[in-house]
Amino acid sequence: MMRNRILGIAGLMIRQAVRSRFVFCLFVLMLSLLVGFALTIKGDGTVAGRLQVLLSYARGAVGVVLGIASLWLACGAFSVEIENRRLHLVMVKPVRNVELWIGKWLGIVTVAALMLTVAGLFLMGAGTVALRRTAPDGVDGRTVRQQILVARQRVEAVRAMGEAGEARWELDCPDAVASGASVSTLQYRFVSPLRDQPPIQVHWAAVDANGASLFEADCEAYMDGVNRLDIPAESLPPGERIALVFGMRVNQPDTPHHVTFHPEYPVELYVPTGGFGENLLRTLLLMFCRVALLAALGVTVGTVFTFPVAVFASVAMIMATLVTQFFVFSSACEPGCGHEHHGEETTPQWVEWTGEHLARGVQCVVAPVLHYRVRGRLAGGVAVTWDEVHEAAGVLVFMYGGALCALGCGALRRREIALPV
Amino acid sequence: MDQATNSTVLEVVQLTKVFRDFWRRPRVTAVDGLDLSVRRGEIVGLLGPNGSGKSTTIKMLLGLLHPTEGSISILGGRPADVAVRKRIGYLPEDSTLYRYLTPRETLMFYGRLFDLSVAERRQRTAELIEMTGLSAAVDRAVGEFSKGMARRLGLAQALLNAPDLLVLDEPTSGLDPMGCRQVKDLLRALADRGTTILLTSHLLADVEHICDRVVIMYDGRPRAAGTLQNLLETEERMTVNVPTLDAAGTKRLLDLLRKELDCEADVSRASMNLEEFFVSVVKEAKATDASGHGDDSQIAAFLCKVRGG
Amino acid sequence: MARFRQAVALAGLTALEVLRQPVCLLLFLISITLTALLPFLILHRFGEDGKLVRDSAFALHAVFGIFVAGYAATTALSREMEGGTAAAVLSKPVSRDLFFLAKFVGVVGVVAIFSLCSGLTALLVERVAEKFVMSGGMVGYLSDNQTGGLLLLAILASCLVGAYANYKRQRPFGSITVTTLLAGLVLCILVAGCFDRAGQWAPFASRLNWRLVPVSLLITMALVLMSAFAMALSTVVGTVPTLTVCSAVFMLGLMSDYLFGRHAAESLWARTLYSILPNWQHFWVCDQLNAGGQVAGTYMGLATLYAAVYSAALLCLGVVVFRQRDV
Repeated sequence: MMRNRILGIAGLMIRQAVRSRFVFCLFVLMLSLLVGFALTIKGDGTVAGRLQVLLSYARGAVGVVLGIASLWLACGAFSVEIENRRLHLVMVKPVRNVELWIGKWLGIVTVAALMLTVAGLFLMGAGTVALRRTAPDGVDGRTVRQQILVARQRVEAVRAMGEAGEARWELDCPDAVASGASVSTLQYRFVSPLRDQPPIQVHWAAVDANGASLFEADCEAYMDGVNRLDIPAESLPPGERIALVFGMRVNQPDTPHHVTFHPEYPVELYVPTGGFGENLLRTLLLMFCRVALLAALGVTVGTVFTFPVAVFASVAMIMATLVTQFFVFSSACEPGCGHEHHGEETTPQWVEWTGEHLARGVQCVVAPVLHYRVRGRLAGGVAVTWDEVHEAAGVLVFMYGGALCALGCGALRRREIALPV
Repeated sequence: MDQATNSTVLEVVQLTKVFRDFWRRPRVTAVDGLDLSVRRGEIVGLLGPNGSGKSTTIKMLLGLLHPTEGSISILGGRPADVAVRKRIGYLPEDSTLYRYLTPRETLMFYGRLFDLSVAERRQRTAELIEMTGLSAAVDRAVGEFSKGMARRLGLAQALLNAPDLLVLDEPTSGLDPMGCRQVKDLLRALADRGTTILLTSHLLADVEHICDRVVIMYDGRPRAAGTLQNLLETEERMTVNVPTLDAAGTKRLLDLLRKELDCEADVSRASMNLEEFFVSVVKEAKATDASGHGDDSQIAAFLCKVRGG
Repeated sequence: MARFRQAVALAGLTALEVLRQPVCLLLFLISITLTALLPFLILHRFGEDGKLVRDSAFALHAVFGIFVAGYAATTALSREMEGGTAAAVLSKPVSRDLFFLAKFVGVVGVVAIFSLCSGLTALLVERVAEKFVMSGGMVGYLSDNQTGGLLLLAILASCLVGAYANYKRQRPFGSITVTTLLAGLVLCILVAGCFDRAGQWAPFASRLNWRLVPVSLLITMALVLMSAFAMALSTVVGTVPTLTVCSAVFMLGLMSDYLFGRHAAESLWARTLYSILPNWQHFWVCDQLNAGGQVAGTYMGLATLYAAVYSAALLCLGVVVFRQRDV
């Protein structure tokens, strides 16, 4: 019964979006963006570089366009219908507010899901083209296959006590390694004020819990930028704890005798756990959860305000959410690190105190929303896990979406929709 | 239907609606202490000039506005109750329908909100489209409709659930005279079958034809209420209807009245009102040239069928 | 003369109608408030505060201005046609050309008021921003907190006056607030001129940075051009497509040099698109102010000519289309 009514309202929403040519415009805009990127992006000249930039830009652009479009559509779902009095006829039918809210939201997210599917097919196609254009054993082909069109689980190594003169990290290898995967990648950075220095000689070893050697390699590392080391996938035991041991080979007088690992970029191991297709699907699902939340926000705000004000209020809320992050970050900076001021502080103390606590309060509420990010992961071949997708669905769609739904239904119950305008 | 709702379908006590400004200060009292009781099968008309509070009253009865004071009991429940809304049909003042849908899709959509089965929806949709004379425009988007066509579709959606209470805001507005007549005949037929009807109208002739009772509102307050007979009857004069007489016959009749009853009397030729004349002309034309207008007897039969009457 | 009076009445009504919309007031207030808060939000950049503040102020002017221009233009035409008010006006002895052009003048009026508010605020916040001072016994970085506070007070006062007028006299909140805001900003400029950066009475001691005015004027021209584009587009499509296309044209016009300019020599398509799309970069000259520079008069003249010719072409197109349009 309830489902029937919800589906009816969702169907109406989709029909309107299609027939008002909203979906068509969105489709054309998105496709022209994707095709435009595919035709204009050059990257670093290699297929891998081009693919990486394309995946990154295309995913970002699709996220932004779909986010804005869904928010736009959602803001008008109630506000426009209240304004042109179409909702009167629906509200006098035996429909509950919650059914109406969910129906509208469902219609919008269905349109978004359709668009995400189109984007997914395009990105899949781009991946397939890149595979065809590169030889599996070439440098470009290996980068495409081992670092981009792959789902690699990121495992952060934890610093452990090592013997004198050695640096040691421990990590748990993932339970399953993708069949056919050839290499895992170790990634690390040093702290260095120097740029463009010649590489240094380093030694890496992997040992199991009993101290038995699993892998050893001498390689070059750069003081600035990201260093990567390929480790044969079969040498890492799935599901077991291993230790990574770092040492330096000082063989030239002008090379540094010691290095400092970057505190903000931990030592990480990227282990291939799946293919690009599944990772793309999970990335799109994560994006879908975010779009669904935006749609929920728009629908709820639209129950309270007129259309333009609803759009504006929603965008303002999103901006405020992002700005609080900046405030919290900047308030965490140590005072006194700047320069001397003449006279009073620029900002009065009480303003800083109130602002900081306000920002922290808002941050508490919105932090989970900002937690589920996909930026750079698809293009970097970093796996989005099913756990993340489930968690995002639970938090973004059910928890926050549910809260917004409750707020929207409450507003709808209180609102007199037939007030003279 | 329980005993209470069997006799009284709508009970409004001291209903008041005050519209407020941004600062929550009272701006306009649209309805002021309205008492109204409507029994099953009655057709009650709310009359009044613009801004007298008719539409506001209707919107409060349907839960689209919240009363500032007073209580509403509608079909034994509150306006917000889903179970109550299941038994109400509503035609708003301006038929605000989804402009991108066709008439069929519109009725199928509203049917879905009433939880009608697919087969039931299809059947009722087809019948109502036929009956409201929209068969020729069945695949056109509602946005392209004229006001009259949109009104017919609005009426069709109001009848979709075979309602126990039909609330109509200016039901004949935008309709051609034939359409007006059909609507009025339909409403009468519905009332005869037990449907309660509450309507507002500016057209007094419409109300006079169909309403059992009227409430005349002005400035938000009821100024007169009662059956049409009670309200319109004049104590002082009577009318005598006879077949057309020639001049001599007329003179004899007047002499007779003056002599026997000792009163002033006059004689004039009986005439139809314009609507009756228009309907007779169109009916005559219809006999030779079929038009797309629906037939009210069909609608009555439809409602009789879906309600098992 | 009668036509002139009609045009003035229509333009005035359009401007008033737009200014009374809540969303217009929101755009005004948020843009001006954010600009006023810039000196307090921007972290200390070792003497670069002034540059950062004025760049951000102009960015806010441009971005919010695009919204104001797009919204005003669509409200003036698309919505009036959708709502039937255009038909009511055109049924009077008013020519279509006059109606269209008067609407445009009304929209330009709103854009001009917005730009005036933004420009005055930019002048004030640039003064508020922290600067290195070495005079009169003061050595160090100093902000003009007094002017900053005054500016925020002016915004708050305009809202209070609007609220009071609405509460007591039922006057429209939006237009009263905007008018008061404009008056308040002018007052702030006058008061700021009477004090030095440390808040001491010193008439005309620390001047405002009037070099900002041409930059602000150029942004205003871009906004007028955008209004003309939105108006011309409104004659063909509804509100939503107009705003969508305006946003797309804004983005494309911003990247015009990169997307089409560099390929213009070898590609006809790129050349055509580069010529057709309005190039917003011509109106963004903040960098000219670095190291004490200013915008050259000839550049101002050429940019004005570009905006005027472009707007005129768009308006002619709009007039021609509007003549054929069923309202």
